[in-house]
Amino acid sequence: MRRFFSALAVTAALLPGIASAATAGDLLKASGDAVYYFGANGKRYVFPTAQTYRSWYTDFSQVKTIGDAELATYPLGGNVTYRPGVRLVKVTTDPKVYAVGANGELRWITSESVAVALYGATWNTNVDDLPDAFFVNYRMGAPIQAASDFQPATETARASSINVDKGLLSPTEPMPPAATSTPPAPTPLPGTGSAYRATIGMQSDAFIAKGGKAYLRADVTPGTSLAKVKIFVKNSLLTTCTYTPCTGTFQLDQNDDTRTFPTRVEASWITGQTATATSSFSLSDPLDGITFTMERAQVRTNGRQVFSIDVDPLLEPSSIDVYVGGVRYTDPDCSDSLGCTVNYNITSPAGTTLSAYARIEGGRGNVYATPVQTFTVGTHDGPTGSILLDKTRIYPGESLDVRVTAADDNGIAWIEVYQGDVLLKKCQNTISCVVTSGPHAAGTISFRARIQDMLGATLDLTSDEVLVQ
Amino acid sequence: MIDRSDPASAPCRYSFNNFFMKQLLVRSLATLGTVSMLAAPLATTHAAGVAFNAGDLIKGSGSTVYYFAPNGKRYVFPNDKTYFTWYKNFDGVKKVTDGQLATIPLGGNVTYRPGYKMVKITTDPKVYVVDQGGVLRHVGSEQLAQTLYGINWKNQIDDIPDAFFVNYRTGTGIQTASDFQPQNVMTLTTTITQDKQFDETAVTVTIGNMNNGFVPATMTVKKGATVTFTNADIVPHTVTGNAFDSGLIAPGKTYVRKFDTVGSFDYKCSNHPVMQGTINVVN
Repeated sequence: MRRFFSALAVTAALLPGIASAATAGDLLKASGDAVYYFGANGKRYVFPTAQTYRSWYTDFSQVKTIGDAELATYPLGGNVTYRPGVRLVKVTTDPKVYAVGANGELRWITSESVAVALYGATWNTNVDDLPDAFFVNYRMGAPIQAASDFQPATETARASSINVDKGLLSPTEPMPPAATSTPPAPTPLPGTGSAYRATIGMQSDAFIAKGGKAYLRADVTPGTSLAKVKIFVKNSLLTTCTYTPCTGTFQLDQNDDTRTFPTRVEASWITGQTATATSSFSLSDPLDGITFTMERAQVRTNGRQVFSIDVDPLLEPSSIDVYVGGVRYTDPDCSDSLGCTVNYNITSPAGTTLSAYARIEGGRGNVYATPVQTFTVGTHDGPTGSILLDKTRIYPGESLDVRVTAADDNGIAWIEVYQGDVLLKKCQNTISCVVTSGPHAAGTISFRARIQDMLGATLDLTSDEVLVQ
Repeated sequence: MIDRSDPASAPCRYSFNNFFMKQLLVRSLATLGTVSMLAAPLATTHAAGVAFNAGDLIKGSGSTVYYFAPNGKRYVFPNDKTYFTWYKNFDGVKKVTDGQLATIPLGGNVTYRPGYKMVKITTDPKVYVVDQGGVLRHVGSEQLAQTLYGINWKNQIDDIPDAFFVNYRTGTGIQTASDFQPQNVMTLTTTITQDKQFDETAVTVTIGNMNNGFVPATMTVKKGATVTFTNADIVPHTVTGNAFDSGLIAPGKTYVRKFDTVGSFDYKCSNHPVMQGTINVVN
C-alpha cells in the first residue's frame, strides 16, 4: 500500500512527451489487461466494452505495452464511445435503437423502415446493448426521422480516429478544418448553431439573504428572431421574455434553508435554434450586508472620529454598538435603526493606535462583528475624503469616471488614484481629482485613492466594485 | 414511424420489441465494470404498477436496481460497491413493469456516498476521498489517510474501475485532516438526492405511451411541491384533473403545476382516458 503514495515521486519525471514512448493515437497497455487510447491531450481513454473497441479496431496488433508506472502518469480522460455509423446501440432497459453520431451523439431511429434503409434488412444483427452505466458517456442528438438524416458511411469516414471523434488536440496543434463540423442537413437541427448562445447571471451584486430578493439577468445572442427567453430558478420558471437582456426578480423564502440556488436560461429562436445555460447564486455573506467606515485615518487628541454604520434591513438589526480600543460605545442614535453615525471623542495621547469595529445584533439571535479597522491618534487631524464612481456597472469596452474629493484643515498635498495597484493619476495641491478610466475588459474592477495633507498624514480609500459585463 | 400508442400496430410492436429486449451478452474488455452485479435476491417484490416516489429504488424484471430521482430520471449504480455505500440491503426496492422502467429516462450514474470510503483507480496510485457530488479529493499522505480513516485505513479503499472514473470530478486535494471529516460529510449527505443536489420540492412525472401511462402513476409529494409532467411519448397527451388541465402537451414538452393544498388529486389524459394518475399531497 505504500506505493500508493510513494509513486507520486515519479509522476513528474514521466510527464507525457518528455521521456515517454507513447504518442497521440497509440493504443497502450501495462501489466493489466486493459487497453487504453492515448489521446492528443496526453490523457488516456478507456474502452468501456469490447464492442466499443471493435467498432474502432479489428484486432490488438497495434497495442504497445508500457510500464505500470508510466501508465499511471497519464491521467484518465474519459471513456471512448462507439465509432460513429458502425453499429447501432440500445440500452438494456429501453427499447429505443440509436445510431451513433460524432463524439458519442445518440440519434434515435424512429422507425424500422429507417433502420432498414440505413443498415439493410439484417440491421437487427447490427445492434449492441449498451450497459446502462455507460449511457452517461453519450449525449442525445436529434432523432432520425428519415434515412436522409444520417449517412452511416459518411459518419464513419469523418471519424478517422478517436482523437478526431472527440475533437482532442494537443495544445500546439491548430484547429482542424471543418471536417468535424455538422454535416449539411435538410433542415437546421435545433441547438447545433454555436452562434446561438445564452448566459445567465445577476443584475447586480446586491445583498442576497433569506426573505430578500435576487435580481437575475439573462443575455442571449443573437438578439433578433427571438422566440422566448425563459429564466428558471430551482427548476421553476421565474419569467419569460421575448427580448434580451431578460431580467427577473426572485423572492427568497424566509423559511427556506437553501443556500445555493441553481439558475438556468433557456432561449429559443423562431428559426428553431435553442440555447441553454446554467449558473447559480448563493446567499451573501452576512457581513456583505454591513458597511462600517471611519472618517479619518488620523485624529488629534481631543478631536473627533466619525464612524458610519449601514446594515441591510434583511439582517433585521436590533442594536448596533461600536467598540473602540476594545471598549463598547453605544450611541443612542443606533438603537432600532438600520444605520447610524457615531461621533467618538478621542482622549488618547498622540502616538496611540486604536482599533474599531461594529457589533450588530440581528434577527433570530444572529450577532455580526465587522472586520477591525485601525486609526492613529496624532498631533493634528488627518484628511477626510471620498471616492465616487459615476457608474457601478458597465459593459466591456466602456469607461467610467473616478472622482476623489478631499478635505483637511491644513490643506491637501496630493491625491493619488489607483486601479488595483496601478497608479492612474496623481493630482498635486488640489482637493478634487477626477480620472476617466477605461475602456475596461469584462470582469470586476475596483479603485483606490490615497490622500496626503500638508503635514504628511494620509488617508486610504477604496471604491465599490464595478462589474464589467 | 412506430406508433407505440396505436393498438393497430401492436403485432408489429411486439415483434420489434422482442428483438430489442434480447439480452446481448456484454463483456467488459477494459475494466471489471459491469452492471449485472446486483444479482442478490430481492427481499421484497411488489405487484407491477406500484406507486413510487422520488428517492425510491426501483427495478424492472431484470436484476438491476435504479435510484428514481426528483428530476424524474433513473440513476444507475455502476457496481455493487457503489450501491452498498448507500444501502445495506435491497429492502424497499419497488418493482415496476419493464415498460414503465423504459419510460423513465436514464439520468446518469450514482457515485460513492461521500465520506464512506476512500477510492482509487486500478491504474493510478493516487488515493482519494469522495466529497459531495462525486468530487474526488486527493489524500496527500499516509498519515493523513490514517487520521481520516483510522489505523485500518488500507481496508477503507475501493478500486473504482477505470470506466467509471469519468463519473467523478477531481477537486482540491486534502492538505490537513480539518479539510475533510468523513463522518461529518456522511452525516450531511444521507441520500443520493442530496448528493446530486436535486431540488426535493420539484419532482417529475414522465408521460409514457398508452401502455405505460404516467410514470409513476401514483406519487406522494409534500405540500408546495412543483410537479413537472414531461411527455416522453410520440403523441400529445394531457394532464387533466378536477381543478387543473394542462391542455395538449406536445411530445418532448412539459406541464408544470404546484400543489399547494393537501389532498389526493386524480388526473387522466383526456385523449387517452385509460391513462390515469394520482398526486397525493401531504404535509
